[in-house]
Amino acid sequence: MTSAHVTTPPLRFALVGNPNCGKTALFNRLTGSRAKVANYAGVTVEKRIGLLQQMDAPAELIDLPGTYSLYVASPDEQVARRVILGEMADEARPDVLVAVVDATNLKLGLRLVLELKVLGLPMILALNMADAAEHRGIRIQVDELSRRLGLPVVETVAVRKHGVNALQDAMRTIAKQALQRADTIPLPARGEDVEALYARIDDMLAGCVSAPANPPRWQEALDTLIMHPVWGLLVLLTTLFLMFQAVFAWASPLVDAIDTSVQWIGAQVGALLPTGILQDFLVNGLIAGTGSVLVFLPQIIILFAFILALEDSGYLPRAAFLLDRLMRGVGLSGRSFIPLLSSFACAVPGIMATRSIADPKERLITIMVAPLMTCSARLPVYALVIGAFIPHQTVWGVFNLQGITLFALYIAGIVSAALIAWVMRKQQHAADDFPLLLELPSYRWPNAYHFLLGLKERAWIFIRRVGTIILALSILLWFLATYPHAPLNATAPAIEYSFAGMLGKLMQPLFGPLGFSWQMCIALIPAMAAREVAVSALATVYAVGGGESALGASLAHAWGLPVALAYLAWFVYAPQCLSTIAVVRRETNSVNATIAFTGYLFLLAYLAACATRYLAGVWL
Amino acid sequence: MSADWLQTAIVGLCVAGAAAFVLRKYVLKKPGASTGCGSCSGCGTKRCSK
Repeated sequence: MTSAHVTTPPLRFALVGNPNCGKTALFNRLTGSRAKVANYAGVTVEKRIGLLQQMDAPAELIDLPGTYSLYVASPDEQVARRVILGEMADEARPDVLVAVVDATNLKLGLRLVLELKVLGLPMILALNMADAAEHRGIRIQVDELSRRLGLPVVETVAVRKHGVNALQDAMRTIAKQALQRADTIPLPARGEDVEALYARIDDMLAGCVSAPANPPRWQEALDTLIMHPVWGLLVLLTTLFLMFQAVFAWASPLVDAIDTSVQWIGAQVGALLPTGILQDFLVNGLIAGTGSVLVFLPQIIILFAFILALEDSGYLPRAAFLLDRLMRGVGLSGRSFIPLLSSFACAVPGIMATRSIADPKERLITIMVAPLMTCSARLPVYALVIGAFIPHQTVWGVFNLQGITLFALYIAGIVSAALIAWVMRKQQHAADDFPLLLELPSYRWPNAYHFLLGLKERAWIFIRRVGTIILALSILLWFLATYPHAPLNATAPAIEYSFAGMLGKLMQPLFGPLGFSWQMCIALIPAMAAREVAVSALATVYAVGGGESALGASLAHAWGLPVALAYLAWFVYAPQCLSTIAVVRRETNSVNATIAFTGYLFLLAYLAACATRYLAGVWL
Repeated sequence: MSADWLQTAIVGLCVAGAAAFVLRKYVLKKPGASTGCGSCSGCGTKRCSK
């Protein structure tokens, strides 16, 4: 007779809820932030799993992707549903569900809870963001709600650890009743339509949840204007236009101040050290390289100040709603708005945000056009070239010509994205209709603390980037532009004999039709890692150590307006960021799609730059 | 002479460090090692690890 130890697998809890209801913050609290992150088999949806703390027996917690319902079908939502039902390969079905609901939006969250309840799995309801609900005047009688739902209900504020102990108590209690079973659960047929389900939720909430009355009349009046198909669009365009005006008009004094400081530091270091390799490295490589990018910090801050204020005021979801109809005209929908808007900060999170798009064709198109939204890394390049070539003059008595040019570059990206999306949609069969479901929050003044905190984070991210990747690339560029030294009998500038010079000349024939000199070609290479480095690369190859104004003067002398505009056109379209290409590969899970993405954007950039140079040469 | 040697050594170390940093960030990175892109100006989304 043999004896064998049979080890019981740990009990599996799963956090399930709508997107942005605070599941991940709760997950971190319950697991002590020790998560194993991987992808679910065969898909690019992230899986987070961790060991639960404070439990009587070993138990693990899965943080499922956000979902609104078991009957919807974006890639994220499909994964959540399949894991809950036990249909996912190599993934045991959860034994207990912890449904997380945003207490400020109970109605939307309870739709999912009621669907989950039908499955018959042990379940706890966590009313997260309870503090925000209280702040908005929403009063919830937790015990009564628990009785009506037939579930244990716990109020939590995951970000402040409030209620986490009570939730752990509830989880320990329910763990004793839970049975470990490996079977799958069939998805029940829809018992009622969505409207009937919401009516049932209304009945359930009546009497145990009180909320302030309807939004004030001024908010309704504002909505009528802001979401009007014509006036709303005008408001949106005006807002964006003002934003880009401000980027140039308000930033100038601060840009000049940083520019002067960088030049002063360079001069001091130059005077302190004897002429030699170290002085050259510090002044022309390190200080000039990083300083030439750092001067754009005020413009980055102003751009994000607008974005944060618009986000915090409740305007952005309305803009998504407004653009839904327009975007449907080019084969996209309002669902693509948030990913595309995120792409104005950086295409990488924008592309990752496309996971919430249910229609795979629409998702692919959104991924393909997301990099055409002007990311903030392009801003220093735009600002440098515009500052050098577009006169600082007022148009129609009010507007700044440089700001108008910047606005035009952003619009060029947006219009191109719309056209390309339309063309791509024409190549595909008609899509299923996935209606847009959006919660429109009340208008509010941006919270000063959150606003300043957000701005500080953005500024710090930019400064950290200047101090890491841009610093490293500036050092390498200096090295490539300095070695090998020019021979003793050299007749041309020293950089022509350097590695950078050789590389630039190797590339130049390809970019000749665009009017790009070999110096401009050099700047395109490090820009593949980070677009801003094009600025420091230009400072290095043009041997300019005197800051942004001196670099601008050098470019104005060397390039000519048609070539400068062609360079801008190149940066509007070129997929110049390796991280974006890598994330497209990961999100599409397709080498062919990645090659098509990279190829079409390079081709577009080339053609646009060529056409711009030609047309500007004829007209200007 | 010794000062030249020292200057060259300092600059050489800085260049080697920069090269190692760039290689580690863009070439030697394990696939799927991080959900953050490492190359953006920050998006502030939960998925961004920056």
